Parts: sequence; structure tokens; C-alpha cells
Amino acid sequence: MPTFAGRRYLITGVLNDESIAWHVAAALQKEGAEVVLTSFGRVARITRKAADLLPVRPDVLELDVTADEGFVALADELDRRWGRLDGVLHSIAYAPPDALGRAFLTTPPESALAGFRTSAYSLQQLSAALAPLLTRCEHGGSVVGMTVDSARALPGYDWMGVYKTALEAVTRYLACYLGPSAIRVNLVAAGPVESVSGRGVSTFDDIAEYYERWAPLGWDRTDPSRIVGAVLFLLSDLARWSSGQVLHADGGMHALAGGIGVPSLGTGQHEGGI
Amino acid sequence: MSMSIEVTAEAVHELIRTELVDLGIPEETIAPETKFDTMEIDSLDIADLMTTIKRQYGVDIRRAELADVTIGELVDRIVSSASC
Repeated sequence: MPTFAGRRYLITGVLNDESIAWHVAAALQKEGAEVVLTSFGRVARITRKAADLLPVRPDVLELDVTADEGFVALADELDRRWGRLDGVLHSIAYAPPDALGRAFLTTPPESALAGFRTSAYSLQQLSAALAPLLTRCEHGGSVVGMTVDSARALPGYDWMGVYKTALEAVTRYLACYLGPSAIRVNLVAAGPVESVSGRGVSTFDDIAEYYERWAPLGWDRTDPSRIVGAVLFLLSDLARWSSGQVLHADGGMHALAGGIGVPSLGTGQHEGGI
Repeated sequence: MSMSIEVTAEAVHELIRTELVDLGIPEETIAPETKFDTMEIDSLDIADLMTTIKRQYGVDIRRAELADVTIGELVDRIVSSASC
């Protein structure tokens, strides 16, 4: 079985210890990998505190994905430190308040476009900037991003749903253009997790309740570790020949329509995580 | 996490007061009876404060647990959880 010992990963998107990215970083460290986090501005203060709660305290580098020059500085710093990179987790998204919460029909263009840059375009910037480091890794570099099930509209998720659909297309094109450099690019579509970003969606409770009621394997919004296994798989050598994929970690919810009849009486309380 | 340090209500209150002042809350409005719902703080401020509390005392407070809660009640909750 593949090992993460000695592997080196860049993890974006750690806000606090509720963040999916925090749980990924913790799992990688427990398996012997080295990680570096990125954060920016006001959020970095919280990220540094959350870094203290990880098994090994990682460095937190500055990365504002809306500033082009930051990507070059990040790649230079990682090159100086490690000279190569085994993988990166992109767990970054933002939508202005007027692009969420059933304001879809009145969202102004600057808000709609600002969210696109942070939530979808930034995956291209991050992957392109780090490609020279990822391609030096002998097992093939892995880029993993985070999405949700975007096949249907989720009321209240609004423009973020549009960005996630775009992110999936960005992933396919990155898979196309980075494959020749032995870099794979995949997404994990997560079920709802009660984190700061989750709670930013006004209909979060209704969405989470739907998953917890109807997902065939059950779901628990308070357990971000349920998503970690899918991310680790895609970062690992087991996924060496998979690219352009969306792997759902959602208790199976994407596969069926809920709300018909009565839910099967599973407990939904299986042991979470990996 | 400094579990060996004795967790007193005074120390916890002082930590919360210092953090809230850092986050821009006027010091004179911070009292044991102040409710979090009435403060001018956003979700990032709450995440910041709760991460500080977890790092310092190892106590996990979820956002939903702060609804209708006063600073004094949060202090009591932290003191009782940290001393378990």
C-alpha cells in the first residue's frame, strides 16, 4: 500500500479546526507527510492558531489568490524549501453575500465575477504556478480541489454552485494540459460540513438535514473526517492514473433523489472518517 | 494546549476580554452579562475566538452553542469542561 512518509504537500483553505483542509493536514501528518499551509490577511491570524492544534505545527505562508504575484512568491518559497511537491489541496472559495442566499436574480456583475476568480480561476493559477515543482515528483504530482454535487441547483447556494460547476470544467482542462507533466487533477465533492464557510450559506441547515435524512450511507454535518479518505486517496499513488475526476464523499447522496417515500432506517451513525 | 495551568473563571474571562478587544469590540461593552448575539462580531471573529479557546484550554465550542449565551455563561462552560 502507498505511504505518505516523506511526502510533501501544500494545503490551502485551513481556517480553523472545523475546516476540511485542517483534517486533511492532520491525517497527512499522522501518516508521516510534511505539510505547509497557506492563508491570507485577516484569516491568517486564525489559521496560525489552528496550525497550533495540528499534530506538528506547520508553517503558514501568505497567499492571496486574487493577487497574481503571490503565486510566484509561493512557488519560489516551496522550491527553496523542498525543491519538489507531491501534491496540493485547493480548498478555497468565496462568494460575496449578494451572490448567495436566494439573491441569484439580482447579483451584480462585479460580485458574480469576484467569486468566480477566487473559487474557480484560482485553481488554474495555483496549479500552473506549482506545476514545475509537482512535475519533479517521481510518483506524479497530485492536485485536489473541493466541490459539491453540482449536478442540480441547490436553493441558496446560488452563484457558488455556478463557480463549482466552473471549477469542475477547470479541473478537466487542467487534467488535459498537466497530464503530459505527470500531474493529475481531481476534485472531491463533499457533503455539507458545518464549518465557517458552510454556515455562510443561508440554507445550510436545510441542505444538511436533507443529506442526513436521505443519504443512503447516512451523513453527519459535524464530521469533516468523512471527507478526508477521498482526498487522501486522490493524493496517494493509488490514484496515479486517475485525472479529471470528481469523487463524491457525501454518503451516496448524489446517486439518488431524496424526498420520495420514507428514508430507509439506517442509523447513519457509522464510525466516521478513516 | 496548556492543560497543566489551573483554569480559573478570572483567567478565562481575561482571555476572552483581551481577544474581543483585539477584534475591535469596545472594552466598556464587554461584561459577563453581554450576549454574543448582541456584539458587533462576524463569523470570522467567532472562529478566531473559539480557536483561541481550543488552543488555550482544549475546549471545543461550536457556533450553535453560542446562540443566546452570555460571556459569563461561556466562561463557566469553559472552566467546567477544562477541569474535567
